[in-house]
Amino acid sequence: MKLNSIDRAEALRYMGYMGITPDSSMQSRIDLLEQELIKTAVPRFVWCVEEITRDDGVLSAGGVPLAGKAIAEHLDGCSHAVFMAATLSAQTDILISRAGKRDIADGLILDALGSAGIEQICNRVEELIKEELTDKFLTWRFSPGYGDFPLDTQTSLGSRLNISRRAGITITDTYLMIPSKSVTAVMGISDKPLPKRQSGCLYCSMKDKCNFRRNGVRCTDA
Amino acid sequence: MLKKLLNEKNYIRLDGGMGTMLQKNGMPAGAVPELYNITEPERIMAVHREYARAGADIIYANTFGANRIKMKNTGYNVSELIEAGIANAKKAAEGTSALVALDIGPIGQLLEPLGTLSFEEAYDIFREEIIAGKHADVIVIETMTDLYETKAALLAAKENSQKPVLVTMTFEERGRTFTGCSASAMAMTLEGLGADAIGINCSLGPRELYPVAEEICRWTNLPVIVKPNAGLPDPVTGEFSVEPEDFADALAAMAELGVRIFGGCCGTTPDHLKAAYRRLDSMNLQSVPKKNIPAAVCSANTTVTITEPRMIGERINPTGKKRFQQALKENDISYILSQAAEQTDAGADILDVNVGMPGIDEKEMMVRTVKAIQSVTDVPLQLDSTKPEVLEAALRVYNGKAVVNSVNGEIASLETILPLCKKYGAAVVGLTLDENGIPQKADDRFAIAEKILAKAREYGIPDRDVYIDCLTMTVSAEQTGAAETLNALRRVKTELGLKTVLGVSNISFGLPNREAVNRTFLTMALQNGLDLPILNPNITTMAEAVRAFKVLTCADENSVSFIKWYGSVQPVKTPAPVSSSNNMDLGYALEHGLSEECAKITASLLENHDPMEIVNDMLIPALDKAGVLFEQGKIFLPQLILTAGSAQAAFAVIKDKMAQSQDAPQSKGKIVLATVKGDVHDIGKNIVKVLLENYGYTVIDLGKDVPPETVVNAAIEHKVPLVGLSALMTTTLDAMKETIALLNKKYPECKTVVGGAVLTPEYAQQINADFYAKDAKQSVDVAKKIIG
Repeated sequence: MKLNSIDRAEALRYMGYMGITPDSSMQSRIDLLEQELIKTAVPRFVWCVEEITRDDGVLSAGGVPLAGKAIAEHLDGCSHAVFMAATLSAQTDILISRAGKRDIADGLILDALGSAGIEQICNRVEELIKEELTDKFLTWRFSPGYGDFPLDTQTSLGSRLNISRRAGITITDTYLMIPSKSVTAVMGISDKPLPKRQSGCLYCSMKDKCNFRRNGVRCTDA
Repeated sequence: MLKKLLNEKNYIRLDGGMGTMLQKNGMPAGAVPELYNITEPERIMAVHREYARAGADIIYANTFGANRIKMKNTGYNVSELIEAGIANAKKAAEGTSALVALDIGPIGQLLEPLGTLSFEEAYDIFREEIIAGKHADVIVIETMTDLYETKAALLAAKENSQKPVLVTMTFEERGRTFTGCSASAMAMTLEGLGADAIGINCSLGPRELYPVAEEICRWTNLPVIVKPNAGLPDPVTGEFSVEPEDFADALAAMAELGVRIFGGCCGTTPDHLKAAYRRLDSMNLQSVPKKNIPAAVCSANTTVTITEPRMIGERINPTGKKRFQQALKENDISYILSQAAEQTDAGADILDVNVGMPGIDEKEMMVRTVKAIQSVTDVPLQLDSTKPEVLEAALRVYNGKAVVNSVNGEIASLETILPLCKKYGAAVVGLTLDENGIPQKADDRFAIAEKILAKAREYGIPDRDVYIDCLTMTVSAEQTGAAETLNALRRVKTELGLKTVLGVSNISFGLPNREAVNRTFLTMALQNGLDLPILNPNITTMAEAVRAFKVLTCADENSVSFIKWYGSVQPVKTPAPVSSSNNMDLGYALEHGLSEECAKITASLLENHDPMEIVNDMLIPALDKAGVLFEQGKIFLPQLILTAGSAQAAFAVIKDKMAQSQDAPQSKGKIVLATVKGDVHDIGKNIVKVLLENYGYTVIDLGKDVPPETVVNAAIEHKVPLVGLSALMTTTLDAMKETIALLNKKYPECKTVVGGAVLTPEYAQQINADFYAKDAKQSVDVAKKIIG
């Protein structure tokens, strides 16, 4: 899977532009860095399907505990779960950090481009999974740390997916992923169409202090 | 032992997958296989027995993940798990001739600079495993993706045991590991460090690994190992796709390349291995003829072959450079890094690194510098010191195959430096001088070169790794010296067949128009067979001479590289400014983030302005203006820091100037900055640093993932009035709280300012921070308030 271009509006949001278009010299600077990021990134992903077991209301799948109310609601009506992980690779982290050491502005811009880039890769992985699982219905991607879904699920999820061997992703003691432009997520699978689930801000731990919400917009509004 | 095995048999049989076999036999998902060594030994032995009976020469004990990091919360310690694992394998192998390998996999945490684990910690983790595995017959290091981690493991194995060591890494289809390590760098580095066999395991299916195996075979004379997966598991069923006969065919193809050690990894079963052994048995494999390996050095990601002239950048060296000496005294690693970046951009193929200066701890500085340079460039390094202990410390932490600068014809030098080069697999520069100084005549220098070569051979250093320096003499002092140097060089090159190296800039000392003399001498030396000129690549005429020479000698085929450098205008990062630098003022350049222009304008302003006047009357007001616009929401973060970055370029020029005139730049005061323990995000902190430095504060940047004690110790040591802490994740806020608590206890008069995405003013108050800064601009305001 290759990154072909990066969603500029999304990247600009991560840089802190709130709906304002930067001038042309900034745009062309971003263009150059975008090309560099695309050239450098080696996107990788891995996914698997596990049956969900519900023992006394305690959920798990493939040996991965799925604790908390939020994930239980998210997987309501689902028989199986998709586990997925994706990364833009260590090379991307190196590019961001090196560029930042030379010129901190480049570091910031690349960091934002990387954040937008990994979301795009996740979207494409999700599409690909949907193509594989024809006639199934999937929920949206729910990641450890959303709502009360414990962040330490990273460890068991990561080992179930074998992410260090298969994608080169490692998890620190504080449950951060390295390379940093990496994502893990869980999606529910059902044979029947699923009712629309709550999404976005309600599950976000930052919802009370979000600059976007304060300004009357949401981070998902491009 | 491996050699004996390879002599007796025409190839060595390794075993197949363990984890996937255990899962097949009912191990539940999420279980830790290493614990089975103690809780379910029978299940482990059953798998071993199948492989041993299938005819494996070496079976891997179930110790892959048995390191102290991965086993932390299991209730067992490393030595009991490893000892049990090896005992199980030995027991299962009874009645067969199978040897038992201690199996060492990756630690599971990434090493610096990408991750947080230091090289030294990694070494210690591996050392514990090696010692626990003392009853094994062989050591296997496998599934590695990071060359640095692999080096730590291999060094630990070589220094703590006498057993043969097999090392395999995991590659992707494009011939690189997950961290970007190439097959050539892997082969060169690991062979140099004394591995007994090297190769590939895990990764993809066996067919996809063919090109990687081919590349490794090209770069080593060691036995080559291939131990692939049976393809990749199906995401839905978990089944592996490659059948035993296909697996065997793919291995047979790699046997034709010269691979002589075979096994299987994830998804392979005793059936896969039996099929493979049958197929390989039928091939009647012969021993692999010895190949000529190209002369080369490398970092983990970049291999530089010395098959054409390559430039060694000489700028990382304090000799005669006041600004560099000042940087060393002040521990200013960022200045040294800027020298590395600049030379890399100018096209240096290798960077010489010398940080020797009276009054500093050269060893400590060398280690820090090598690690820091590795984090900003992939260019291989030439480690330059007169002290063996400095060289050894640098060789240890260098990630790749380095050049050592230098050994000379003195016995004491040969006997201390060459063993280091051998142990760490480095190439070495041999200076043609000895106890009696530098011989005047070419013949005598040639004789010393011969002596160095003979000694290097004695230590087992291959000829391709000996680079001879015939020494440049100042032509104004001894005019015939140039001819002697060139004669010696030509003889070393043609008669000894060795690579040659030469620092060219000394030739013109004491003459006017030095550049003309240097460039001409460089060209003459190249024509006489110079492979590695040591020069300043930033001087364009010197780099041009090397590149033009390569065109004229067909080294640069179709002039591709030459055209790349000179065929079009270099792309500029920022569009050309509307006005030229002559009439553009500093304010305009700053506002538009034009770093180069800022530097130029500052240099010309310095001709008739006092440095501090430029700072106080021009730079600071421009920064203030940008800060106000940012607060008003009229400009955004990228523009603010572009301005800050340009101001940095201007400050660099001012610092240079002040160093020349022996003026110490005035600092407003010191501030310690750190990203707290457990957090690896440092862009925010780095932005704060740049802004604070712009305003004249000295920032002691402790980096990321910094433990509370380190912050407190630095604050006390430097007597700082203010500490800035950054955290980006909710999970690391506790570490911030802990740091502040410790600081308040041990150094209560110090103030704290905190920032980071998840912080709020309320939370800052709750953890007893004195100030909350919502952005970089506000942290400058806090500094002004506290320090002035």
